[in-house]
Amino acid sequence: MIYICFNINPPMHISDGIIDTNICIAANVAAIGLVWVAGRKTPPGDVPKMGMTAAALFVASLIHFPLAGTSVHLGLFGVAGIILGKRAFPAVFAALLFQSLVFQHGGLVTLGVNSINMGAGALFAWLVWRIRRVNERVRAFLAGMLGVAVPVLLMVAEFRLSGYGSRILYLLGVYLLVAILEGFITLAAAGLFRRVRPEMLD
Amino acid sequence: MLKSTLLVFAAFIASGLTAAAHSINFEVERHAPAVSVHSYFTRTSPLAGASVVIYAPGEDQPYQTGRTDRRGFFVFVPSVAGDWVFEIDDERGHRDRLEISIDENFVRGVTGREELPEEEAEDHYAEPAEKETVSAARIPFFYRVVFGLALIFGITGVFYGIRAKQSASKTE
Repeated sequence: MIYICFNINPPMHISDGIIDTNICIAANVAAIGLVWVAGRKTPPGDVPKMGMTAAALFVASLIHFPLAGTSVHLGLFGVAGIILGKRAFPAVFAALLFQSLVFQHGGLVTLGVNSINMGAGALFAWLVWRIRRVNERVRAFLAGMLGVAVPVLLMVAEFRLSGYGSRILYLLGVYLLVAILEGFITLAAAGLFRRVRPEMLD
Repeated sequence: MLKSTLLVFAAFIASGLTAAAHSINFEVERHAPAVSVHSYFTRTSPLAGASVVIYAPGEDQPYQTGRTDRRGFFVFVPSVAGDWVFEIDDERGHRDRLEISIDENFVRGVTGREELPEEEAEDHYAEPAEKETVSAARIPFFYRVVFGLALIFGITGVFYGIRAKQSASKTE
């Protein structure tokens, strides 16, 4: 069952045919609404930043590496959240749309569910990043961790609600390690931006 | 200027979309005497009930016709060595063609079973199935990454153009 659900390896993308179609349709409508809400009134100067972030997200999930006996990939949703804020959602949506079209990574029917899962990771990262009284390095690390942890928690909850067994919970263990790794990557990225382009973080 | 910029980015999108069509993937499993072809978009969305035509090497007339089962599988038994052609059409706009090479050994397993010594025949039939996965799009990974990025940058450019135009009209 795990094999069928995750197409060999356990990525964060849910394929078509796993979640109830009515839920998927509702999620697609909700995701398009969120794209509109988050993307409207975007200053023209932010658009290239959104495009670059979407491109980075698109490529990041294609780079797989072995971990804990399986193969995982990065998400960079924490980085997207701290750079774009709420506008990370349209970037995540665009990256997932083209991953689905070009690589059949995820599915078009589940695009909304996947976008909400991963977009929520970016939005939580942004919320953590906004807590200014906490040290910036701690915020960056937590943002990176939440960028992975939130999507995985949502995905596991969706699988459990769809009637899948408790074996799905093993993903939590695998992705806890990825979340820690993403925390360090986000920390490094935030440090780089602070030195090179500090305005991107403010 | 804005119009020409939008046109350039629209061209980016068009070039990406050409490659981003919903492509069919195949998994070919050979286990003498049969070849099984699993056709799917993703592991959980098979081409179920799709029309299949099999052509023997060098033949114009179909060797076998039929439909995939509900899980997207189709099985046929090649009779000669050579490049067999597997054509699939789901009659909803997705069709593709796959060449499957069959060698003499495989055919010996199919047609020459009685001629083979019993032990050899048993050995031959005991061989584990060979599995081969083929992406029907057959576009190399690198090009698909480039196409995906072209689409993203194309849409970014168009979105930028629209937002710039809206901002300019508000300023006026």
